[in-house]
Amino acid sequence: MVAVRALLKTRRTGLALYGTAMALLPLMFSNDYYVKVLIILGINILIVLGLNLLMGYAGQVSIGHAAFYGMGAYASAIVTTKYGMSPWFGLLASIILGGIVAYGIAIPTLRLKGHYLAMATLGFAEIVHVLFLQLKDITGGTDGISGISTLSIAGFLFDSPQKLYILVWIVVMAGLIISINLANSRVGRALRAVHGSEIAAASMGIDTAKYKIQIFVLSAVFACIGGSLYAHMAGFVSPDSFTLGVSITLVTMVVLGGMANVWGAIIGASTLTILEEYLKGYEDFNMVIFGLILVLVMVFMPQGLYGAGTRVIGLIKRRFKLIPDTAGEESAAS
Amino acid sequence: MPLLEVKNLCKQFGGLTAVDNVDFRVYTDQIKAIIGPNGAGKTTVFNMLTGVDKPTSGKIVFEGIDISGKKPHVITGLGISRTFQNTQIFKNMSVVENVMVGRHIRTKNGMLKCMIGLRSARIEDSESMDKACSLLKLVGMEKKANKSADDLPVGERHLLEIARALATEPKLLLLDEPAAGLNNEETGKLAEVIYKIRGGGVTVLLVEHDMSLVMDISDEVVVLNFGEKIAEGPPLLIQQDGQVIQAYLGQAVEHA
Repeated sequence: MVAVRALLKTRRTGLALYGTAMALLPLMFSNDYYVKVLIILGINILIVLGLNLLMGYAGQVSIGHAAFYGMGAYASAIVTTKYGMSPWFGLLASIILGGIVAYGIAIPTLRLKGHYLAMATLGFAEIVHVLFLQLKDITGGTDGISGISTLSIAGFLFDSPQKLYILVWIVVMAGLIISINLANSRVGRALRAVHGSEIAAASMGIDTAKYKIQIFVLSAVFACIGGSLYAHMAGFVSPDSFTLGVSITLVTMVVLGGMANVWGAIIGASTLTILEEYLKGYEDFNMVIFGLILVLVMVFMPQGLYGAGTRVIGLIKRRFKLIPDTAGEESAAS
Repeated sequence: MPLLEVKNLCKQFGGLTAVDNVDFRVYTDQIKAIIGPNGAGKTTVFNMLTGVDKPTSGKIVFEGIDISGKKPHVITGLGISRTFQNTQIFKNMSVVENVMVGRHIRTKNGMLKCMIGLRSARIEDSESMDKACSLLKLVGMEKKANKSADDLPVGERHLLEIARALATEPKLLLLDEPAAGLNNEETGKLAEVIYKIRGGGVTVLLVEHDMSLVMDISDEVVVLNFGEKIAEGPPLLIQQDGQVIQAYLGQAVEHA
């Protein structure tokens, strides 16, 4: 029990440190462009946190999360531009639409396993992408929708990147806290049990179908919130932002950081978002690099960057005798 | 009233009859064993008792409730829990977390409460943790609580599964070949654990190939062969049963 309390304490310290560091980060950049990149980074982290709960914890692969990202963005865009409603209604509409669609999709597809589930989500995302292109009256086709208003609270407009950054990071911290709470709870263990052995999970009394659907909906809602924030930041949405390539990038972020680890999701999303910015000039070349990263990580460090990092630190500590070899056993006995 | 009553249970996979008209009863506080040669249908019976497979026909009555064809998590809730022949531990968790998963059905907090990290969720969690630790003590694994379950040797995987199954607070515990892969010393410890479990008021039904263990600890034995029940009774009678000996050793050769 002592070990568990110590773990909770480090978890809280880590969270506080990370939150402070991120809040201070934009002060380093005077250039709006960099702050915008940080906002995109925040949005990506939010989506990857959700996808990590689904893929890393519950073991259900989705290659279609760009669809929910896009649905969130379009819902916000349409509600604010076509109906002239408050952007907060846009955000609400995103969450409701994403939640309902995810629930409808989850019931048939989550009966599938492994590659079949991946294929089904891929197909779903392609259908959604075609709808963005073809429902021209609603989505504006290839032109997309422009003139999306910015968010505001009681007259305070989030109209500069610096202001919006604060809002995005509050949302990201909320997403992070939710993920950490969930991962180490009764439901989080149930999700990991479904991943570990579905038959054993069911035999332990876990309604596997129910939890698979719930986590799919939650991860879709995370992506929709990300999409809504994106729409209000960019002021413009078009189908190009929600392609298969985006779905694959999101999956790569989860795998690169390390599956089933909240901090891994942050590391993966941060690394690839920044890399993507560097590679902007090379157009489609970045997909080649991302594909290569995905393959190399899966072969050489299946635990991702976070797992590889903790292993290296563990080796160093042991090498310099900073921790005794039997650390695990004595803490359990107390 | 028996705790568990199996009536005319049949299971067909396509044209193959895996379990053919099997009847038996398990009474409270018994240790009962199901034995039989490979392919006799023992694990299929377990799978039907726990809802993994649906019976083709027949009835399974547990505490007066017909549970045949019910979903696995519902059956666990009613008070039947199991271990697996090829262990199904959660390799992506620590040892103690594996046992805490067993508390799932006896705890309540849903996704929303867990997300927010409500006090009630945290209190429930620490209770699950205490319970899990005491069950690990019961099977003699308290020192491994924080180890990754993936690092455990085979024998301890079986013990971990027993602790995990007990965490669901079963009235009937099904053990599917718990001694597979154990050496003599470990099997001895296992027998002690099974006695302790029965002492704690849990009825035990096990499938096992280790005959000395079965004959040692069982109150009654059911023998299956090619899906049919060929004998049932106390161990001493079973050992002398002609049909049982024939099933295990084959037809006696007539010497001229």
